[in-house]
Amino acid sequence: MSIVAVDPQQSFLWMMEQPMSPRISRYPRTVLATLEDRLVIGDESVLRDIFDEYGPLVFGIARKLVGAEAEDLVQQVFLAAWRGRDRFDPSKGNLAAWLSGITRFKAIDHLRAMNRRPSTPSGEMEDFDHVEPVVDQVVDRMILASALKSLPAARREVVELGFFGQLSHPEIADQLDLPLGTVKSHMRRGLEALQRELRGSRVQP
Amino acid sequence: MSNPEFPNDLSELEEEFGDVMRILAKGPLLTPTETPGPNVWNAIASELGGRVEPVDEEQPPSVLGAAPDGPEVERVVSLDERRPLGRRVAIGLAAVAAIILVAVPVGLALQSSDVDQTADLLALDANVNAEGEAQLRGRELTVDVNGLVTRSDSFYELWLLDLDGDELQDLVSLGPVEVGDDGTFVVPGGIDLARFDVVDVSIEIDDGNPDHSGQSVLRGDLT
Repeated sequence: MSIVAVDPQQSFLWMMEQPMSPRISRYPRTVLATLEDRLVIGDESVLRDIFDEYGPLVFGIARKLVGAEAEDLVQQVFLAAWRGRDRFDPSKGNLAAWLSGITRFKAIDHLRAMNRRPSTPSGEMEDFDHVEPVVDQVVDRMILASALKSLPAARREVVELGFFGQLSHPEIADQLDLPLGTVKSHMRRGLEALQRELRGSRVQP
Repeated sequence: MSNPEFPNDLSELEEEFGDVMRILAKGPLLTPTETPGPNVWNAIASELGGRVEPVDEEQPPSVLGAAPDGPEVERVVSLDERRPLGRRVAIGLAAVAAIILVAVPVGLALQSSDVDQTADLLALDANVNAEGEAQLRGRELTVDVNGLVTRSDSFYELWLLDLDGDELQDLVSLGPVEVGDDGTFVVPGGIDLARFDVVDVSIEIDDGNPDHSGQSVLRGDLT
């Protein structure tokens, strides 16, 4: 038999048109439905699971930006997510990024409606003329923390040592006992994953 | 020329990842410390008109990192009560599989942490913007795949192939792959890794057929 390359986006049309290769099986497989899958198919029970999983992230952003009104903002975000689930596109980022993006724009709307500026953790509000930069600062730091936490351990360690530990690639390789090429690969792929989530959180929901 | 904005030799990555790097270089990130209270969920449930169930508001919001017997919101109402039987069975099977996939490798990982071989998983179609990496430690294969589109009607599956040139001799499935998460798989003892030295990710439809669909998306040689 032969195995060919396909574009996943077109896979179903392709499969309908192609003769199937003979299959060889050794072990059974199990389908693990993700929260993303369940959201896309409109499984209503998923909303609670998503709330449990990402509620702290959304609440954390909201608390930093709107303080005592955070609970109202969290409610708005999850209702908007459920009602707008058709617009969720996993190729632009995971659920954390998508929900952070909704929170970003809801917070901006909220702050504008209240005709006031947000406070930052360091109390730097006087440094900003507009709402957006402060909101971005909080959301970006939250979503990157979340994305960093979800990286494979070795990749996360390399990124942390490079940025927070101020180590060079050779120093990281030495500390982790990894080949230099592996360290560079981990760094690049780690940053790619973080960038994907950051950009996903900036897409207008 | 290095950019003094970034530490050490990271400057060469600035053109591609400047946004992320500037945020990382600025200092500590922010992590959430609290969960929203049950009243927040109940307000959502109320707004949705009873399509989801409220929870007991006597339970106060929890603080992340609290003791295991702390007032976690998700413990108030059993998820099983909200799920149809079929989904409960599926999730139960998934949980068993997850325990097997996670618990067994964790035990093995205690015995072996050195990477024996790695494979860069590259897209077989130039139009597919995806990639991955596989690391083999003893009989434990850790795979991280990113960029693949996830769909409700299909999933990705990990295989080891025995190829003679481009001709497939044999193959073995190691299980479904979660896009964006690293998964760890145990290579069964009877599989000769000198023969099955190609890591393959295929796209599969949920049709009950456990065999390779014949459609590969990513592939790489273990070296």
